[in-house]
Amino acid sequence: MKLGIAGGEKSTAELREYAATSFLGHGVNKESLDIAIRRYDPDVIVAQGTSTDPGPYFLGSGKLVMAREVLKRDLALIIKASKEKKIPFIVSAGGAGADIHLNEVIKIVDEISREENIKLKIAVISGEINKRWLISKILSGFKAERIVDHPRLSKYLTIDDVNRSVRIVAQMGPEPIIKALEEEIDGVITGRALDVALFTALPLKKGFDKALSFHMAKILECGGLACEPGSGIDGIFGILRKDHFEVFCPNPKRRATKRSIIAHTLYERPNPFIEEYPGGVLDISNALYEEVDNKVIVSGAKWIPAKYTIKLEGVEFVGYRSICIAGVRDPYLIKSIDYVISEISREVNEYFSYLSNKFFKYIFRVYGKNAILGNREYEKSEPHEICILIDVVAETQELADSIASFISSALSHTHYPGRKSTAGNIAYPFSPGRYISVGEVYRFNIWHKLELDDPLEPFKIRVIEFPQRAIIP
Amino acid sequence: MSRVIKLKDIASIIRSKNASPFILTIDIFIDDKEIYEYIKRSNIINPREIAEIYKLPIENILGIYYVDQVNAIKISILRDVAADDLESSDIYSAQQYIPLLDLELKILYEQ
Repeated sequence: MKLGIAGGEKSTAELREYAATSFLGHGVNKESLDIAIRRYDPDVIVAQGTSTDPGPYFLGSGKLVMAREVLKRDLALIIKASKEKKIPFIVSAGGAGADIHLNEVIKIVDEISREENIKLKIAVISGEINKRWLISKILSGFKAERIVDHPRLSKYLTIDDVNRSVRIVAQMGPEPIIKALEEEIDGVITGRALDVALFTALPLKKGFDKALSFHMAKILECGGLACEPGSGIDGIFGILRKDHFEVFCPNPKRRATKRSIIAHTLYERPNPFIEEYPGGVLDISNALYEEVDNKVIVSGAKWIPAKYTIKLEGVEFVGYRSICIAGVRDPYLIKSIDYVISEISREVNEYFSYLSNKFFKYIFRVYGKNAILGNREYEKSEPHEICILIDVVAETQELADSIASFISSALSHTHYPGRKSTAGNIAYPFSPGRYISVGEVYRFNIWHKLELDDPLEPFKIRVIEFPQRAIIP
Repeated sequence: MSRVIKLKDIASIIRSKNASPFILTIDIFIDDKEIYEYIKRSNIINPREIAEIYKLPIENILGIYYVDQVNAIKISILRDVAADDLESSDIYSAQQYIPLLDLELKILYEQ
């Protein structure tokens, strides 16, 4: 096997990808980006920026997961670097990845293009699924099966699931991005996308091996997290060839090791050897990893073709949350806390019994005792200080606030064995203390896979020129 | 002859994370190849044991995998309470490996 030297002669028999960060909005290391561009001559800069990890709130509320300023700086660094180098960038952006998020990202790109005075032509691909389209699919006999056998999810997606969902997105595969790359553009920005789709689009377009393309993508997708020491704000470089690929870290402060790379293939995946993707299954159980200098050379992945499916994600509205953060240091109250909580629960249920037709739910999260592990907690020692997080969810914000407020007052003045203080049982860290309105609560109700005849079908591609023309009222 | 060791004393990394809101996955990297091989061979980390620790029916243990190249054990669990349920306490499942730290493993030695 002939090994290419990073930074050496470039050939069309290889494809060079730089993953600039673990997640767009986590931070892009500018020095590493400069090194990657100057020394290693990438064909494309890639970064993922959509995920369901932060939970259903972001898809439901339409808010960005990442701080806007960091997202803007990351995008600006990537866009400028790729424009100067005259290579495309491919990123997904906006967290949950629906159109409401993508539109905010378009605004950010417009600001960048004005502030940096650069003209851009970008293909923007929506990851949002039109509900009417999805319902017509179901009506015409398409069955979308749940991906995980969890009782919350319908076995097959129903029209009711679709209607109840606030927003639905799908993880696009590489095909819509490949299609977008046919245009004369500076780069591609997608809404919700499969992370590896961003990294496999160019290799597949150029005819590289599917198994190797997906395997390399799987390693590059989280940027510097796959290196040692891992970093969420640094990049990783991959060079794909005919029968193998190599990965390394441009930043001399960290390196790719056999251990770090294999460890990363396990990360956040239920099965370390097999992963289902649209149109096939990647099997890396017989992959070979060889550490040479500061690189890891990888080969041996297999691709087993399967039906073309995309993963649908949707969230439904649950209610509104109100919380109270209550600190307790009194040793007698700590000793009696289980009794006190059961007494207060009884009082709440009695007091609010006239609202029995309304939805509300409350939990006491006792930090210092068992808030994190619940019934799996095995540590029995007594804490000297605890925090009770009163967590209320109800059908209106007003009701949630009222219940949280009632509970915090009750907790503040309740009696317990050994009580010496009669002026208040809890320390509120700040004002407002009794209740804090947190806002809407959502949960995933769609986590299904839909078979497609045409991988492009639900994903709309637009080419947008920046700066966008000002809208004259 | 036998020796009882705790998982935290033989693993350099023990971590947990969501693989979707409905699946919890735990990665354990064992330092010593011999101990790793022993654990794998003896099957002392098994679905019954994990189900008991996580207070779940045994069917919820989706798989226990061994990745020989890095001495890693992966345990994937179908959650009863999903990460985004109101009763859930850990949206990324980042602290759900804790019950395994003090897991005691009995290592038998050949005479």
